[in-house]
Amino acid sequence: METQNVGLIIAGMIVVTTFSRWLPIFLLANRQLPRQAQHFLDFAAPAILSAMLFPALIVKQGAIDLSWANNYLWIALPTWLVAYKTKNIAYTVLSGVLLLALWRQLM
Amino acid sequence: MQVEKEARRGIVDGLPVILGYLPYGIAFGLLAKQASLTLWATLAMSAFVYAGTAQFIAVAMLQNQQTLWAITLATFIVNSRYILMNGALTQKCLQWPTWKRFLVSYYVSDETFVVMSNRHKSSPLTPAYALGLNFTGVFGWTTSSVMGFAIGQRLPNLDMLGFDFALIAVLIALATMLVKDKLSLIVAGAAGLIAIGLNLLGYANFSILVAALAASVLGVVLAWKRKTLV
Repeated sequence: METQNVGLIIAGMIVVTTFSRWLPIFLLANRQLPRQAQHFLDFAAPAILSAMLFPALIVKQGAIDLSWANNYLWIALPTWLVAYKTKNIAYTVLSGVLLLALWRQLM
Repeated sequence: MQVEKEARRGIVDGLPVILGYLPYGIAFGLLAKQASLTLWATLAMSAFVYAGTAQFIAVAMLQNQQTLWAITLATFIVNSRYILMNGALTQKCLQWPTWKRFLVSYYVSDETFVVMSNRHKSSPLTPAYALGLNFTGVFGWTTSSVMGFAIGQRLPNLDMLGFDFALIAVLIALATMLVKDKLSLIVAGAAGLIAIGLNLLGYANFSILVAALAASVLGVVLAWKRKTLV
């Protein structure tokens, strides 16, 4: 990963985040976003995460891999359960990592 | 001096916040190191972007060889909630000089927003308080990120310990917390399926953004239809 590339990406992140943080001060009003825009943003965040997760878990080397060799997929299921029950990032990460370690030791 | 009192109060109120940041900051630093980011990059993200969710997603996307535009757009979408938060916050501070409002709102976070809103209920927000709070926050977040990075440097390859799964686990946790109703579940499902499809067709690089945008538009259309059917 070239440093140049990452630097530019961080710069981009700073620009868009600062834009969102400062926009209301420029506009000087507690205006609501148009409802559709608000909906779109509300959906976009889980959509991005899902669009990252599904392929990461299911697509290996350009093909769908549902076999037992695909650790990530099968560990993801109980991990999701923990996330669903606890709504806690720390517990989720801990259980996922531990379960995978366990799985790898057993296989 | 009143200013000193306020600033000190802001710092004190910031301490529990950075305690909460600690595990996530460390996790971020560690994951950033795993993703081959440099210390400077990790530090810069935490110190100048200061947005945990976006930082985790960015690291995941970097590992996925996503483009500058994809990561920037994803960051914008995930951080757009700051528009609303600072909209509410700036209303409470209209009598402040404008430059102070800019300064304070730069380092707003989910947690400090709650702290400031609560504070304002009992005692009007002052720039001194807000600056004390915010700079405590960014100091704590950046420091824990660096700590996590340092830990990542010293640890051997953790694959046997399953640690390579950590980033995916974070994404699973975030996704689960963000899917709050049936409609967002449908959107997430659609995004995931479209992304898989694009991946299989060989368009992995665009898959995340195209899938997310398409699914979000679908969500907006479904939400709109729901309103008109009622």
